[in-house]
Amino acid sequence: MSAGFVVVVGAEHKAAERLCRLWLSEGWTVLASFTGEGGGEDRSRYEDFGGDSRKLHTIAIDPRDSESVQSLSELAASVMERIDMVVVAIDRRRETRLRDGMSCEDVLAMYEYNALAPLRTIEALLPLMEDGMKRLCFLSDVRGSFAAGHGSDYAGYGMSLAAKHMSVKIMSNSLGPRGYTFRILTLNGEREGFGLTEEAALRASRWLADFTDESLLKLENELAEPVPF
Amino acid sequence: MHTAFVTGADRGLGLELTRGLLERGWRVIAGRYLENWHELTELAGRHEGRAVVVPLDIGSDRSVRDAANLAGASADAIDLVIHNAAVSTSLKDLTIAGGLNYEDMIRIYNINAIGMLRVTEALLYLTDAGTMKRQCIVSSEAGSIERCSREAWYGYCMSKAALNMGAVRLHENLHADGYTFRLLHPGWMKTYMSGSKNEEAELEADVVAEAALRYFIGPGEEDHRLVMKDWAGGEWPW
Ligand SMILES: NC(=O)c1ccc[n+]([C@@H]2O[C@H](COP(=O)([O-])OP(=O)(O)OC[C@H]3O[C@@H](n4cnc5c(N)ncnc54)[C@H](OP(=O)(O)O)[C@@H]3O)[C@@H](O)[C@H]2O)c1
Repeated sequence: MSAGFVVVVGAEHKAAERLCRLWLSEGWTVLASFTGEGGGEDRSRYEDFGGDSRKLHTIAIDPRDSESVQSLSELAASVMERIDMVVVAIDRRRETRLRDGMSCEDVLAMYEYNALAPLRTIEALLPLMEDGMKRLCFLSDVRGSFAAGHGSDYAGYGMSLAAKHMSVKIMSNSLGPRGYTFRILTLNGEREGFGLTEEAALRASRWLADFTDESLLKLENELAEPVPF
Repeated sequence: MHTAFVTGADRGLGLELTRGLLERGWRVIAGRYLENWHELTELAGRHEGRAVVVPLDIGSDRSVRDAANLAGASADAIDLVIHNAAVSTSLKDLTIAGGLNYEDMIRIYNINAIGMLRVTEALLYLTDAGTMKRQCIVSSEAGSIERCSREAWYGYCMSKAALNMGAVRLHENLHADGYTFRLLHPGWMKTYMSGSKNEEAELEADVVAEAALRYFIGPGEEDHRLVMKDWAGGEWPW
């Protein structure tokens, strides 16, 4: 399809930034929403994006707060005639070391950011998607896959991602019959730039926005390999 | 004599697991959540000396710490922990299009998913000294992402998927220290998850408890590989 309208939540995420850059260069209208503590610093990274600056919109939100998330939806309604695709890249990670002062507060915070915030944002943006291409995308991490090992110091992080994957599955069950499709891009946070090289980012940007593929729900890594839950 | 620690032992499956262990001659430290429920008190009274009831809210750091201290006062070691306590919700039909209740989802996660981590960590000083080093986790088919066909019940399903992931990660972490794990989907039981006893369900809790205890106590291929099995021995995908 030709360029459309995309909302990227968690735009401070390095991989999200790469994707936004690519979509902007292809003429998409991009609403980049920052959810981190970086504030202005995160936003300023987007200033040298080039391209048609009228097609780039930014907003900082607290994704744990429904009113704040509503302000994102209001901005989207004012700058986009519809939303074709939402990409949720929100990511909080802390180690959970069982024998070394594990913090349940951290574990709960990761759930709030990584699992609940995507639901909150989708819930708020859904009414604007009805006339669009109805694609919902989520960035995730290999440590949220049951099959992947080496996550033992990241129990809480992996748990929040498993919860997110479950929520995507439930959404796909209810929204699939209404034409929505779902993509989970599983990155490797241990690698430089989450393993998303220029080439991988290009492939990922096309995969996420390939509306000719009507499969309901797909998980892939940055190498375009399928990933099990 | 072997010692077990059971969470959510007041009623439902937890009570029957406690009963089954006591009948097998185990010492059981049983977590009490309900103040005014008499069944656990009566059961403990019939096995004086081997049944220790401790107040326990697995959603609270302090309560879990206090319970672990009380456990330490009555046993030098714990061989087996059964993570059984969990909650459901009356808001299970809320959908993404109709509005979700995030406070409720946080409450459920704190108990069903994080509770297991809390209890595991607090008891490590006792389980490290145990001979069996077994962690038994009562999960649910509702945590299987692959099999999920539900369109709602986000909070509970997400909490059980996370619980399964927590089990996988703890297994990675503790296996080298000699720990083994059992992960169970108990089936649809006539218990109190919805607040009152669900007589419409399929299974009696005592029947499930018998099968569960064989799985929890015995040796098995699960000593090396973490899988979720149902009460009848069937394996569930993640
Ligand atoms: N029932 C089913 O069909 C079914 C199916 C699949 C999996 N399961 C799982 O089986 C396990 C046992 O459930 P059940 O069916 O026996 O339910 P249940 O009858 O409600 O028993 C659970 C027990 O845990 C207690 N509890 C609740 N919150 C707690 C907390 N914060 N700290 C400590 N204890 C707490 C409950 O007290 P209250 O009664 O006051 O809440 C109750 O005594 C749970 O893990 C459940 O998810 C059940």
